[in-house]
Amino acid sequence: MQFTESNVDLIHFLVLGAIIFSIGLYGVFSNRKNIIIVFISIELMLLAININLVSFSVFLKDLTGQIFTMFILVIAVAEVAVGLAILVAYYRAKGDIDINKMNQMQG
Amino acid sequence: MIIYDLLFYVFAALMIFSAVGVVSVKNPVYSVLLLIFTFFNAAAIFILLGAEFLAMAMIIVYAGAIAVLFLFVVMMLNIKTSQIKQCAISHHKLLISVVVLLLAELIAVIYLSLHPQPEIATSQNPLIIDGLKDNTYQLGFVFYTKYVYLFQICGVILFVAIISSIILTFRNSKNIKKQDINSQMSRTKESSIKLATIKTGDGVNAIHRK
Repeated sequence: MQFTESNVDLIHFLVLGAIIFSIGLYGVFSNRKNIIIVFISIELMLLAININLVSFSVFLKDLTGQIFTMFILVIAVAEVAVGLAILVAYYRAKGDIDINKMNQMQG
Repeated sequence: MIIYDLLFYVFAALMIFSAVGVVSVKNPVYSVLLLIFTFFNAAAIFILLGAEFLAMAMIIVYAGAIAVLFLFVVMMLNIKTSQIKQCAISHHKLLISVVVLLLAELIAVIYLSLHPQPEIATSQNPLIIDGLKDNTYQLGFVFYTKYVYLFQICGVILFVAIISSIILTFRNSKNIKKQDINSQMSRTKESSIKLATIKTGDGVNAIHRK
């Protein structure tokens, strides 16, 4: 397709995915106060995975990667919906979503 | 194809900057808005790759559904941003160095595994992308034939997610007025109508006074 003359090849897309994944990882670990940012960072990591899958799919000319990207999208949506619902229920019970106070079970 | 390269670098740079913004701004509302921007850029990258259907699905699902969900929750929970500002973590430098190390490792692995262009093993029967047909057409053909069971299971998973999130957030409040059809239908004339003879000039209050 349009990649025949372009300098942008698979490596560029994979590196972009790796950078986004690292940023998401940083967001998960750096945040000690607000659990919503942790959720958003997990979304960023899923996005990085999707970029990897789609770029492999396009450069190997195999449609399977795009299909599984679609499935990952669905799972991500379900995960976010349930996670935010749990968060709302937790906030109602405790009145706070501080991660440091989530140690009731002493695990 | 200088325009293609340029577009890729512009969208990639915007995406990286907005992703950095997502994890670094203090106000979670800005964070969610930057997340939407990141996903728009990802959709642009998908279009550059030639995966138009996924780009559109990305915009619809993330900007249309997830972002609204996040914004609702962020605004509902009423988190004070001043509290968040106070809590600076102590191991910040260590964390950044670990993440940079991981990124360097990832990039090194990608370069080492792809630079002497290897013989990439493809699957047994690949779904070869036909450059002449459009992306949505080909995806539609595969979704409803080869992957029909997985596609249906996706629907089930979404359904379970809907039910669980409704149950988790549902509050059974005493103040809500509900219709009880049994009690409505079992009313009789005797139990609900009271006939009273009232003298002229007394008014309705005369019934209660008795």
